[in-house]
Amino acid sequence: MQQVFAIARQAIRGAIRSRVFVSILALLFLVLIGLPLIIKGDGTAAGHARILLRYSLGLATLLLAVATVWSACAAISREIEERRLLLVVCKPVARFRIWLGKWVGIVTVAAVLTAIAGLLAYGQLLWAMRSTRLTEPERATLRRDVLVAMQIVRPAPRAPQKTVVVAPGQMGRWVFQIPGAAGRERRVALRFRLASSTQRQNAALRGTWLIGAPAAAARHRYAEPVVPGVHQIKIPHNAIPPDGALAVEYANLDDSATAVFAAADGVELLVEHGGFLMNYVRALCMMFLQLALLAAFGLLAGSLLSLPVAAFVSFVAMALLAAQGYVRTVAARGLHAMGMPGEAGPRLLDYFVAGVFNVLNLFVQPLAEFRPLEAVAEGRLVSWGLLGQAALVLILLYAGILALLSAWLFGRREIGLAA
Amino acid sequence: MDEPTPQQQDAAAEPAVSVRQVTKIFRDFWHRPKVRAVNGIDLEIPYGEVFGLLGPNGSGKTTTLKLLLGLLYPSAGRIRILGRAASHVRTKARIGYLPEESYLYRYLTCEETLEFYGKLFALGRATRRDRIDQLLEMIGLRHARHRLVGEFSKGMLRRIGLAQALINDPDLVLLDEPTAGLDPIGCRQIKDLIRTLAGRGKTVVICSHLLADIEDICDRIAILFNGRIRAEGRVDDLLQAKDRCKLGLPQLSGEMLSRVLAAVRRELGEDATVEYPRRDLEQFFLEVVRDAQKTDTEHSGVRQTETLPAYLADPDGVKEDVLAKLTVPRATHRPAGRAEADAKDGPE
Repeated sequence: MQQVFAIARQAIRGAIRSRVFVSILALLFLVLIGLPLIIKGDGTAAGHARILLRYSLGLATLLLAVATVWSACAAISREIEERRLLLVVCKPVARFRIWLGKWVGIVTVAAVLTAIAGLLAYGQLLWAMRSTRLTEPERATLRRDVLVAMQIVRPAPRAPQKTVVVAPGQMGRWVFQIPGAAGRERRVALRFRLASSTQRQNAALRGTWLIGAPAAAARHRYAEPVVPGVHQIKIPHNAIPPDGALAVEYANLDDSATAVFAAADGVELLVEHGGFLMNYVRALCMMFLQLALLAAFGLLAGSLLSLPVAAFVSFVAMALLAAQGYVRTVAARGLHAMGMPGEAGPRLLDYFVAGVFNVLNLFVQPLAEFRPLEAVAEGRLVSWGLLGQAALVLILLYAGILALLSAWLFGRREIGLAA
Repeated sequence: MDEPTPQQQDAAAEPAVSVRQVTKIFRDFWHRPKVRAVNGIDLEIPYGEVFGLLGPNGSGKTTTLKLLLGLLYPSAGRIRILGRAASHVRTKARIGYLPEESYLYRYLTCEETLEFYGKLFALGRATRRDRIDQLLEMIGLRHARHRLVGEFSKGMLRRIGLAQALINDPDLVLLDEPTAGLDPIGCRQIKDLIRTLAGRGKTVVICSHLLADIEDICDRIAILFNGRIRAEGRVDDLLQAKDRCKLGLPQLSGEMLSRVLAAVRRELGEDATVEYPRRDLEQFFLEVVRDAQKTDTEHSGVRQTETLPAYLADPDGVKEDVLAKLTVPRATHRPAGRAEADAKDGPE
């Protein structure tokens, strides 16, 4: 391991002394402190906090991702081009250890920068919370809506989940099992994403939600008309049965419009689970794991390709990861999803595009669960279990496969060839 | 009875470097053959020998060296280094390599550079520290140990490059243009060092254009042209005029010299002379290359010409004194200790 750590230490020294570290640090300060001062939200404290978490921290993450990918691509490809690697590979160090050392060095720098970005964003949040301009109700709203960790509970049984279509005059029903001690004084809310068959713009649908124990006579009732989109209903404690089994029913009282609730996030429960800080730390850890995977990908590309080509390929991979939903849609629907003029039947090109995107989707699909930034901005729980799952999938599985592939390909590469 | 050392075991088995019918073809993006840089060469270098690889630019010297180091893989043939395959990790633990340019990390200090390469050889902390001190002393850069390598002159970079090549106390040292960029004192130091290493049973392979240096220090040489070995053998054998001999005599007076010469001429005829000329290596090298050029008109290396661009020609014939700048103080040689002692203090 002495050799691996020596290479890692050299990579860290390189990052710090080549001023990459300082430059990224300066940009992080600019993005995380300067940006919230420029961007105006909806004027509320909660809105300001969401901007900070979603946009400032999001931009900082993008910056870190780009810097990590670039550093990883350069770590091997530039050293081959500038022939510095000649003096490393002619030493008694296996190629895999060289790769591992570079990866450890890059992810160490990424970890430090992620921690700094996280601290800056959290400091901003605390500063916003303690601002004298905030009224007590505003602070309460901030704590309740943003600075929380809400666990998402999906309808039972979990599989198979189906899109629920509720025609006028009909009723949809979902049953949930709230985990843990249901009787505890925890906040529970129902969140639903309503889609409608109506062609009228912003037309509200009339309907009634009934929430309570499956066999209870008296249930919590919510009967406000709602427009298509995402909505949240607070569920009072007395509506939650002690065993945690909760039935949710939706009666479509509209004259003509059909209500549609998608399988993925049509109807779900949000259950308060722990504090914001630990959730935030776990989200940062997950972001770091994603950076570590990007570093592995950048190193693989850099050990095979020249720096510009490696960087291009890596950024395309990053874009595909960022556009997971789009990849899924095109995989399912072919070119029609791209807004191409449709024909009567699917064309050959549709099959080809769908095939390519289906293959891409195979790799992208397992990563769909890991969206820490979105979770923390929406106050959703990033559980230890999910973090462990992320470590398993992102590092052990994906980065592990990339490492083995790199070791095999890098080991076969002739480093002595002129660049 | 003492246990045989690794060198003795290796020496009993096979030479330090064994190259059999090795060919290296560089290919283009579509995998089509582009250049045959090395073309079926055979080499055997025994332990303790200083071997010189000569040839004009593009003749395949550096490619051969990279093949020996496992930095390139042969297209055909077989290479064995110190009893193992060239690309074997354990082989590399016993090799020191100085490339033609100093490919060092510019943001590391002189000491950090040697620390880094020492760690790659998995040297223990104490051994590493001790050797770094000795090497810095040897190359005359002890005072600059905390300076960034990026601030060094070319000569200083060569010195630090040489130090990293010797930090593992290698059994085989491969030096590509070791004296390039060095001042005359540095050149002399390196030559002395190479002879010292050979005296200690180390094998040294040198690539160089500086024929006088090669002639000074090499036991055997091979001259490459267009990827083939055109001449190979002991330096003395190759350079000796076969049809003449030289009689060594103490300083004689004019009268004594005339009498001796007359006596010799009585026996051998008028052919006997007092001085016996000897071809120098440079002349021999050029003859070999010129002959090779006649047979191989098409080759991938540099085409030799004898014309100099006008703007580079010396207008008044005044030569600059290249020995004027001797800035680096002379330092004593302290070759590093044996690699086997490294493991005693264990890794850091």
